[in-house]
Amino acid sequence: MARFFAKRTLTAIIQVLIVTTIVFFALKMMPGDPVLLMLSRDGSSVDPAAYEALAKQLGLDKPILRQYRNWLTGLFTGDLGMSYTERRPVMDAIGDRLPRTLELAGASLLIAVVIGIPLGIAAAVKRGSWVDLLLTGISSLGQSVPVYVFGYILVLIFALNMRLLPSSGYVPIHRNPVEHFRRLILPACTIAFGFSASMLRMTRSSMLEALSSEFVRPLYARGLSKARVHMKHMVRNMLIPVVTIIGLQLGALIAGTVLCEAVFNWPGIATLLVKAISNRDYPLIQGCMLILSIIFIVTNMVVDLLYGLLDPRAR
Amino acid sequence: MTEVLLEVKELKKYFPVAQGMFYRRKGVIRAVDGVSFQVHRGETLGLVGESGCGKSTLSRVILQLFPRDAGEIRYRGRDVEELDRSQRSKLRMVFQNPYGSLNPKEKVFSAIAEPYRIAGGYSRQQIEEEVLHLLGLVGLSPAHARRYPHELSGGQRQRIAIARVLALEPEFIICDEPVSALDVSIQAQILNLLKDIQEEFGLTYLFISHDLAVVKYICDRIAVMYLGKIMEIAPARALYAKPKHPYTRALLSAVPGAADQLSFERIVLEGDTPNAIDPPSGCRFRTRCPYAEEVCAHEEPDLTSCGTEHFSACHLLHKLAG
Amino acid sequence: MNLLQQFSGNKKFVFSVMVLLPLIVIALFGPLIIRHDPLEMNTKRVLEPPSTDFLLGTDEYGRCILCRMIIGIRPTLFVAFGGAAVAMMAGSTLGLTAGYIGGKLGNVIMRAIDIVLCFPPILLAMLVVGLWGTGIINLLLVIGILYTPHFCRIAYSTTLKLRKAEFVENQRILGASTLRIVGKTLFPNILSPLIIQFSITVANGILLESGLSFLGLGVPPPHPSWGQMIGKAKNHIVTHKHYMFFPSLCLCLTILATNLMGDALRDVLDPKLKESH
Repeated sequence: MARFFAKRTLTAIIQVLIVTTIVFFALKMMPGDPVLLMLSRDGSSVDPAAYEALAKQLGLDKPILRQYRNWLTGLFTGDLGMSYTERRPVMDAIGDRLPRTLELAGASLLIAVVIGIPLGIAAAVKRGSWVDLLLTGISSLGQSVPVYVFGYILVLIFALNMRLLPSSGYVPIHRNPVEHFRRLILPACTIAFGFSASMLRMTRSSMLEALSSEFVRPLYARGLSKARVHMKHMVRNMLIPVVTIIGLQLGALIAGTVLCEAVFNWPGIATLLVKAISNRDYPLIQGCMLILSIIFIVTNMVVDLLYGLLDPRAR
Repeated sequence: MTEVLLEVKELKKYFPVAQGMFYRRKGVIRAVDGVSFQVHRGETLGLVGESGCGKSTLSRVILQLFPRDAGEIRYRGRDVEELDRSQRSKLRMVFQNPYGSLNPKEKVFSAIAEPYRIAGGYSRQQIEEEVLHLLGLVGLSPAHARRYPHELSGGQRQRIAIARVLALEPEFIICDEPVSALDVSIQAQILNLLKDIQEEFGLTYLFISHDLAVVKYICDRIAVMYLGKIMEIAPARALYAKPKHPYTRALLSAVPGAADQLSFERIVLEGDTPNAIDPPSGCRFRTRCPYAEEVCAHEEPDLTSCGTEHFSACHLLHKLAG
Repeated sequence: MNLLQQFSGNKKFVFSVMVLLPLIVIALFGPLIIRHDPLEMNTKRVLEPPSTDFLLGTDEYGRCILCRMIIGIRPTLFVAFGGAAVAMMAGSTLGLTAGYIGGKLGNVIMRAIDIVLCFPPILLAMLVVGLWGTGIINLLLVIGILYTPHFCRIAYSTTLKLRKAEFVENQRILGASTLRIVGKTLFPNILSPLIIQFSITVANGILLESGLSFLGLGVPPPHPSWGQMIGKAKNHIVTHKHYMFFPSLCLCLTILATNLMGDALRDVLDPKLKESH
């Protein structure tokens, strides 16, 4: 067990190193001169002295490996450079935005679990009934509707027609907690929809497997009620699909968050990244990419470790 | 004595076994551990032994599917590694499992045509004629050419494998348990087919099997293998009538219904075959041999002559006469 | 013949063909059927409702929405199918090589493939597009790179299983070249899972392209694509619901059809998996 933990953690560390390296050198391979870009966004001529000074200040006059080392040390001390457009350190910009994105992703995950798993169990227990057909039907439709399309459907219904919730925007929690959560509901539900669909499918199939497996039948034979069998002996078997789905769909969750932030003008890290890409703000692109990839790698690691705890065969 | 077609000398094949977290090399499986024999033109040499004794590895090393670790393999006096492609195509193999030896995604026609296509230089017309001819030889109709292997029975598949092996005029064929995966009712048909084509084309067989009845029926000479070594080699009749090695006797004792006709004391094998990673010292069979003595643990017996063309690797040959 | 019957008896397959086939035909012959220039702006006829002249109305620049939708299929399908094809070719070649030849080369290939999987897919796509610019070819290559590992892993694991198969040994005994064994003997045997993965990749490619276009990082304007149209239509969602409705509906139908195609292929080509769904 300890060996499995050590091995998986080591893999994650190597992955982070590879990702950092690729992100750094991808930027270096870029066409165009970052110093020029910083000094003149419109391509007008630049004073050579100012150019020299800025290049020196950014450390871009040094050999590339030296730059790489500086960048890595900067990374460990939390210094990812200056954003051209935000005119402040990349780390600060990310620090503002990241918690909002994590809040959104976490809320949608929670909603997906709360919706997907009970419905999955219901579909499995009532296998073949109209409930099952309806639920599996909706869930397979759910996998075919892009996040943003579903988001606009929700906006149309709940914001524009029923006027129950605001259609977009963000209010900091310390300013107005009620408004904060009112604005969280729609985007979180949007991401949760596709997610709960796959959660439902996974729960359903693993529940069906568990219900038909050898160890359940003796429980009925012992006279335990159906409900007790379902509840008591399958919780552990339920956790595995949840962890699996999070692992499998993590990329989709990130994609969903990226798109959803755009739909609802949620000022998270993804909107920041999109803006950075449109503005060709390279240090900011680099920083966002890096932070999100590291979160991706670490989450994947945690999922694998949890999986190892739950299912010894996976080790 | 007829010409020696294939000669194997002191052949060795070890497989490394990797274990542990960092796959430190821990040992080797001595699958084939110093095997020597000759196969004469036109004869059938049987190779018998329990599963895991190295029979299949030996055949695959001869056909260069695995590189050998030591020893010589000579075909018509030349090392097999130096043969060119047309010479190499004279050495062929019929596999145990006709389900596995035919490509499931390939129709029968292509399967049989494949040797010609690999060799090159045959026209479409020639290939078609050859394929139909071969199908006829093994008792199948041209209609079978359009089928996929999974549409055929086990016996038909093995016939197709044989048709395929007959392409390009082979001389030496290794039959690796060719009938053991088949129903008993089909086995005799396939064995007869193998006998017929041997006569017709003057083929030489190395016939691998664990079934002594099958081997007795088809082989001229028989070699008995145990844990990567040959224990006894003799003409078929002599081996069955007067087996010298205790292991051979044990195998013959185990043939159902043969117990009361034995010319020697019955031996019932106990325990499992020892691990080939760490075989017993001296004679490999000593751990299961009822006659084992002090000397068996220290010295490895060589194959020694004990009759016409009869060789056995046992220290106690003189004591076990009878 | 047998396979054909199985497919035509599969409802999911029939449905997805009924959606995808016309779509492909429209994509191929789109320029011949449109009545208006999809790029031509007309400031006098902005955001019109559907009429006999503009069947689905006009967008914020007075361009025909229907015409833009017809032309907008092309980049999506081109990028998705092209990207999936690139990924399948690269992935199966790498996977077959790693699986059959194995050894150090195999290890290097598989480790290199793992690198791609360190990145969340959409972010890698955004990084590439962000650094090298938007454009159809870039999008196609991004999808190709993103999904190469999936094909490679499938090809690798199936090849590893088949490498020791007797029909492969049989070919080696006959002196067949490595290229022949890999291409003619092994490849047909690993094709089914690759085809299933292909249809999954096309669906993912459509989602990715339309998502990036929605964000404004995909097909560069003024050329249309469905995702980009939805992105533009969001500014008019209150007043002109039809502008968003039609591209969204078509996009959902297309993705649904591709997903069902994948399910149908799995049902027919890989019957073992059928039970678990």
